[in-house]
Amino acid sequence: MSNISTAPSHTTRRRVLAIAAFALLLGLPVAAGWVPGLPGLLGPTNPAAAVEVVTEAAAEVQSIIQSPQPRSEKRARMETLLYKNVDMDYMSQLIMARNWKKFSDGQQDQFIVEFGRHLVLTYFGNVVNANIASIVLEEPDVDDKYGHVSILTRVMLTNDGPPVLIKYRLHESADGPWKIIDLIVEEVGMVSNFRSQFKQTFSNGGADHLIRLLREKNDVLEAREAERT
Amino acid sequence: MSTMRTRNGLSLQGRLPLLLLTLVLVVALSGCTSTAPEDEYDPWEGFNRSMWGFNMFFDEWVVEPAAQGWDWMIPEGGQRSVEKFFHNWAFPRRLVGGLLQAEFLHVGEDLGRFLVNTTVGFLGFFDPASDWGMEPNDEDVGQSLGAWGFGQGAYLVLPIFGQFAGRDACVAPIDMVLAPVSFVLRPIEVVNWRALNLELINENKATAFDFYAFVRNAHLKHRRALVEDRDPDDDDDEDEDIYDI
Repeated sequence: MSNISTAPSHTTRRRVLAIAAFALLLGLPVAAGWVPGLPGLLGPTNPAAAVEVVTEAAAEVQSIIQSPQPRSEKRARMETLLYKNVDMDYMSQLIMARNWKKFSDGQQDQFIVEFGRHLVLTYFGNVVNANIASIVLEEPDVDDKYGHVSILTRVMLTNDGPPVLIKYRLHESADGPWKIIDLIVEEVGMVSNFRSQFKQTFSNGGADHLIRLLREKNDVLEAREAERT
Repeated sequence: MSTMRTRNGLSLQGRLPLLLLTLVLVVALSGCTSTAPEDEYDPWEGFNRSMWGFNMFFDEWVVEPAAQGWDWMIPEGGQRSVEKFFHNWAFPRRLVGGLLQAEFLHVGEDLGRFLVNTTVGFLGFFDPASDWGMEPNDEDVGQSLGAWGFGQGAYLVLPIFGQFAGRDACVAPIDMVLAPVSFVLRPIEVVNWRALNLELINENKATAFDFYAFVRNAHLKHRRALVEDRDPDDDDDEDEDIYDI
């Protein structure tokens, strides 16, 4: 059964109250939510929206894992979940960092497609057989510098193993909703890890080389997944 | 044949082994603690990838089959107990690491945990100390060097022994001796750990775009987090520069 709880947050409450008071004084419409385009000045005022995204995503992951559906249907649900909640465009930029500007528009589009496929295949393979008993959400942290919200979750396992700490980092995406831009599992971040994995291939052969190898890897993984279903 | 002699009478040929040894030591020690120009300093990547290839071969043909056998023989609960046993008897390493970093609270906690788990917990196969609120810590001599300000140094992969931050590699013999039970029964500890992580490791081996870089990044980030004794609840615990685009 799904079991997701949120720890109380005195710090966040104080922070929200302070920001709300400041906004009222200035007559700014901050209380309605985050003001796009002003990160670092006002800060996100509604981390609750980000908490909602993580809560729903965590519940859906648990539901997928515990579902009696065939593997192929679980995979389809996971794909829908990830494309809805992960900002693939922004995450691709973060991963390639300053090299992103060396990609043409077409190469950027191709990379985003292949990266999305790769994320779905690797993430699904890692979590589909996880023994999750419950997921506990800690209070959100607001990073005023970037306008990001981080939410730590403690994934409790059914097999007496220690809880797994997973931190979600979200931002308000260009098209509106809060989306995940990084996942930090036990202090190891996905953005950092993918950057490390792609760096040498890009340095050796450039964007086309990286995209081609990533596509080939994804094709192999798709074939492996097809064999398992 | 003429022989050049130095002021103290030694020939250059006579001093050559000493000079070579000094050179090797200087290079090795610079790899131990050099301030890395980048986050993952891997100047010996060619050598490391070769060793990594050997280790993957060794894992595929020796460690993984042994772990599968172990997994068949011993249920997961038993494997967890074996893991706890090895962790308990690595207490001297945590004690010395904690003392070197003046982490006296951790030292006290670890001492209490060791006494409770060795007695009530049947030599450490069980962990009643955690149930009584004594949380496990993880300290070692390599971390102590980090706490004293030494950089991670050059990444190094050795056959069989695995991967190290350069700083940890230089004191690895000390850390190994400080965990004598693990040192003597290392094959059992490794096979047990591999059995507990069979699916996770096999999945990532198969799916990672570059498994060598995947593990290098994860290992170095994990070691850095241990040195900094990071609280996961902290807001600014990640490498925030990566979000600067």
